Amino acid sequence: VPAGYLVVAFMIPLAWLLLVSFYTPIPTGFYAPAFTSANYTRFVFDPFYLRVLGRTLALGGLAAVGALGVGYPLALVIAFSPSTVRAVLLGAVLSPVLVSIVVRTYGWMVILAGEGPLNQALVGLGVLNTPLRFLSQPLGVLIGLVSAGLPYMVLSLLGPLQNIRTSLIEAAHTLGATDAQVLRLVIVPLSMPGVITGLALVYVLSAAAFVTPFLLGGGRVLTVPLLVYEQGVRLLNWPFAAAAAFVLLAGSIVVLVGGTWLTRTQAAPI
Amino acid sequence: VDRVVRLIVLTAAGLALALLLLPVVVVVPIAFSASSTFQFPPHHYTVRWFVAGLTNATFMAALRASLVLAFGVAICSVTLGTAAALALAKGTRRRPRWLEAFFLLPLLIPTVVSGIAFIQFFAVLGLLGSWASIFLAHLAIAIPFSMRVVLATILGIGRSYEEAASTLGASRLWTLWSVTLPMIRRALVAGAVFPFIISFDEAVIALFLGGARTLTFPVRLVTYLVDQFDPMIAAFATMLMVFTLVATVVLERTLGLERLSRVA
Repeated sequence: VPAGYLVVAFMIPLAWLLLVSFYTPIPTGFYAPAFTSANYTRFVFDPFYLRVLGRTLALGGLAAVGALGVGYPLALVIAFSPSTVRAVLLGAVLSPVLVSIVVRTYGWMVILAGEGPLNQALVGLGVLNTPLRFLSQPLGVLIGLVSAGLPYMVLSLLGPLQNIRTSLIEAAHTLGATDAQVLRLVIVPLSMPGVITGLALVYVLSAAAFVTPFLLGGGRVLTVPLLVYEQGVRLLNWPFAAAAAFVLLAGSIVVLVGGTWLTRTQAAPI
Repeated sequence: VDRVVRLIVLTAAGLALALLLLPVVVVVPIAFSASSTFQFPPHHYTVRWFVAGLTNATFMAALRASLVLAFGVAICSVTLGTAAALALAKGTRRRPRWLEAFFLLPLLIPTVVSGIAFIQFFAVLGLLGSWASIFLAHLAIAIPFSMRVVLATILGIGRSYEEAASTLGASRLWTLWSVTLPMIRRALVAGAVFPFIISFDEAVIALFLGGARTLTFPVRLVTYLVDQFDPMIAAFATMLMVFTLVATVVLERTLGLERLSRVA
């Protein structure tokens, strides 16, 4: 019965969406059941929508790299700390996930505001002369995306990092390796599966994020999820919204499957 | 060189912690701030934003609606999810793993995609803009969570207790009622709390499906924030965080934080 419910309530809407994405939009009401691929070609060939797609991919990619850049050091510290410190830090990583994304995004709106604490601090310390504009800019959206993606990045990295045997690290030290060498030659290669999983996960979450670009972008940073909303809910062009949604979904599936495949082939021999 | 490496690692880790915790921490002092701009730290403190929030009729109506919705989703989700988990646990040999993968599908699909799919589906059914559509959509994305929590516990227990019960002459229904369900009751609590949080937090699908008269609490927050953001929202955020904290403690008591991180 539950499987039946999911088929009815989930699979049928999705299949319907795929069908509608090939329908012809008509301006007065929703769509006409005449098949066309115009929705997809419009999305991929129109320079405006191409820029939206490019911006979405760029923000997703930068958010993934940014989350790796600060998440990897944090995961390192957590993995090689004594257990009490580890528990506290792990709690700090997990607890934001339990706070609503709307609340966390609101927190960033406060922090990044023109006269908000971050600008006050930067101007007060003499780093900046005038307040920097974060909101309604890609930079503000990016900060929000990195923050939202970090817990998933750190959790992905922690598994492989904690599985590294301390004897390997001790052996490297005994053989005269410096900390930097141990990190570069032992720890990083062994944690590659976690790096790939984390990048794929944060990329997919960021490219599909809605609340963060919706609020931090202030209507000026249009990404594919926002386009789906605008076309589907505001303008009622359902076929085009459906096509955009499927481009997004296809991109996510490719990245997730590719990531899984890469972690399999990269499987460490130890 | 080693000292430089350590310094870089620690600095970046500190930056990561700031990115994680700052947006959560900053709202609490703002909620008590006496001025309506974002002075930080505030010069004077007041509870007037809490009063303003709690006496705001539209927000309170949305909050009540969201609580009822989340409660309904929690009960139905844990019931259906447990049924699915029991069925999956029984048929480990005959039913292939793809069925389990099938139940994961709603977790992997972006909410905008399912949101736009639900719109067109419920429009055909004539349910667009109704509470029923939001309820059914939330139920569809919540069931997999309930199922995963319950299935993990059932598989952990093993089947020997149920086999012993049936050897001693218990009917299948009686075995379920007197042996299986009592053993998994912690998982049942968690399997209900998860869908509650999911439904109560979910803003995207509810925004897509909701009409002017069917605003959930998170949707009301988001639409309000598009135009303005005064400390009243910080007061709501603080209350939500206290609520989340309570829910987390309940989950932690019943399930343990480590298993929580595995399911989430």
